[in-house]
Amino acid sequence: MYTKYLVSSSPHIASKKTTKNIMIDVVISLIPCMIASILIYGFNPLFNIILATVGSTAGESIYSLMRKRRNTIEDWSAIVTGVILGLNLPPAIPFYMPVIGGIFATLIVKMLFGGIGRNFANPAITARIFLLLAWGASMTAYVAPIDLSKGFSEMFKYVGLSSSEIADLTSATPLSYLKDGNYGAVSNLDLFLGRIGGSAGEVCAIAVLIGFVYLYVRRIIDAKIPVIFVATAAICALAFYGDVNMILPTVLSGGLLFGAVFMATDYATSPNTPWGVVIYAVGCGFLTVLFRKFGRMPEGVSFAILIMNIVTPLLDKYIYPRPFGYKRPKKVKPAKEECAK
Amino acid sequence: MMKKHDSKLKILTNGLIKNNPTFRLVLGTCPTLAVTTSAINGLGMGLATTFVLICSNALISLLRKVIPDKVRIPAYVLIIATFVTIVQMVMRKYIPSLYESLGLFIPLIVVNCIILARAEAFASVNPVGDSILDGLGIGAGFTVSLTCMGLLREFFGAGTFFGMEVGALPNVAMSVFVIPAGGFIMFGLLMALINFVSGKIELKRQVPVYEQTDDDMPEEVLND
Amino acid sequence: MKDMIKTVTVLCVISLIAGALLGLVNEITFISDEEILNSKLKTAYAAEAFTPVQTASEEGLLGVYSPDGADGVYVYYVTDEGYGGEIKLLVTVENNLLTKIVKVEAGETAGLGDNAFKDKFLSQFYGTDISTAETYPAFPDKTSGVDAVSGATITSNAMLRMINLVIVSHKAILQGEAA
Repeated sequence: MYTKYLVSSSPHIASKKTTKNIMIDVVISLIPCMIASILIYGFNPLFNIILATVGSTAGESIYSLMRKRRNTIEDWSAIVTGVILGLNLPPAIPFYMPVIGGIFATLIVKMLFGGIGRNFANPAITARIFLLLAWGASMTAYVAPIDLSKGFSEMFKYVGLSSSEIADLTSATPLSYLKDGNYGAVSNLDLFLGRIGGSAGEVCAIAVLIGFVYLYVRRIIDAKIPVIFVATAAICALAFYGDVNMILPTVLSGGLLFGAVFMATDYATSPNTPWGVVIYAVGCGFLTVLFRKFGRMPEGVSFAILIMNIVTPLLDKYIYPRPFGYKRPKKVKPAKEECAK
Repeated sequence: MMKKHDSKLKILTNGLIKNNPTFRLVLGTCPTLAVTTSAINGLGMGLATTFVLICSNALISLLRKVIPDKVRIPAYVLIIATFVTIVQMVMRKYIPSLYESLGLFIPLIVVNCIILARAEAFASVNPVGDSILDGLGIGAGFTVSLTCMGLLREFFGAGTFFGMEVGALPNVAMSVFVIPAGGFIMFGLLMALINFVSGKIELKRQVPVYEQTDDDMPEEVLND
Repeated sequence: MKDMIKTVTVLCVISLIAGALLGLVNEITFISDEEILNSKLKTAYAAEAFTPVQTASEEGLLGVYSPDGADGVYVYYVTDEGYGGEIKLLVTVENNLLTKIVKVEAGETAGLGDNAFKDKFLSQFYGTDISTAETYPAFPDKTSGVDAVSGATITSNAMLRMINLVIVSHKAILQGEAA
């Protein structure tokens, strides 16, 4: 009879969520983007994703090996980083770039700073910026979507091309048109469906939205960040360009939706408090449009997210919930001392 | 006032590893990051700084009993600035290419923290001979550090080695390393590497301590 | 009071020593801007001496020089704003053909903008007939058929502007001679 009582210390109820589960859910939410990218650009994005994931898991494994610790790739966070990075890259880039980007993302941005949960900025975004600075010419060579009506062989159109061949095939992206305020160049429907030039996973807005809905329903991300981010960007687009027609193109083009849903919402690099999150998302949206309008490059999302990631600890330090009934103590001025000279 | 009985050799090698100005004392970071876009620039800057360091250490040590304490900083800066100007004039005539590459950073040697720090900490309290050796040692450490960083940044960032192209590397070089962002990254990585290696060396010197690895930890603790 | 006198004396003495040293070194190493320019001109075209050529003043045109004893050769000293400061070039035009471009001064990044002074970029200009050439459009316009230095658009455009300046100036000189 006495065996029916189990004595143990808390916790007695544990959530079924583990890091691995969450990460697997994120990968699932990225599947629509992956499929869209392959349909739009052929097999290149798939190779980029695989290469980036190889790089990111390698980076994490190298570190675990060096420190003689258990290999942390089992929590799938490296795989998520690799997939997001792969989707963030232009389709037609040399093979070594996603690999090196992946290694940089996990080894330097995440592991050297203390591992999962301790990274100072989103690894995928930082790796993308690193690649942009390292190989600017290749990273800004965006190719046009493939025409599937030409048959299955079109899927291999961009596979294995050399840099000079790719340079001949590049076309301007909607962002470069928008920089001049020319919103009519690409139709909003094209922007929504992704039949435009750009980075592999970013272009198809509907795929990103499906991913967002999945993440929200599975309670993995808080809808506040993406919604406020996009809303702020829309308002800023109106404010900076002074034209209502610029709102939708600004929101739908470039990496804004993808960044807002998948990268700005990283747990480690976004604030912990409700108001902190608001300021963070507003900052992201504002900076994105600011950099797009006044910066040298047509894209601003990566730098905006990076800056707000770095600001997050500051937000966490100063914005914390006050206890009920808390009154700020009045500052007591130190009594002026008589200076004897 | 402790270094009086240190061996001359110790003073010399002090600056190379234990008190390496770039990676240990973290002094003179401004020229380090700005000038190391190529190995030649790093080497040139290092040698120029070493010359100024030796001369200023010597003169300040010579005058250490004469300079009043109240005006020692202006006096030191005056002496340092003189030698920097001499270096600048000589470079302009005899090595114009280096003079042009280093540009603004030659006069900036005057405010290089290393020189003032060594003047304060060493030359003002030690005899001339020791001060010269110290200047030589610290300067050598600085030169080696700068040249290393310059080599690495140039190799990864431009695919060249002392200005000579290494095969087809320039085509695939990662330009990030020749811009300031990459300078910081390379600086941090090098410092991390040096700390890691010296940490290991320190460990080997000490009595070995049982190092617990994750393999000994029970499963539940690791799977948190 | 005595403190102050000693302080001032010491500083004065140090200044005098410094001044003497600097004066001495200056005597040994003095090189005027003219001499520097001359030695640079010699790398642009092999000649003993150069005489300046009178020409209409243009923004960015620092001077035109003609080597003594060689006819139809002009060396243009031009400047423009690059990425890291001013770029100064010497452009040699022999019998209306652009033959050489020499860097006098530049603060461009090694590995990026610095590649604009290497033969790989400059050789595409050598041999062009300046008297009939059209001025180049700025990058990234690809119609001119000229390749920019990858990763260094600002520097490349500065180089183009200077070459355009040479084209304009040279045509002006030719017109002046014909008149």
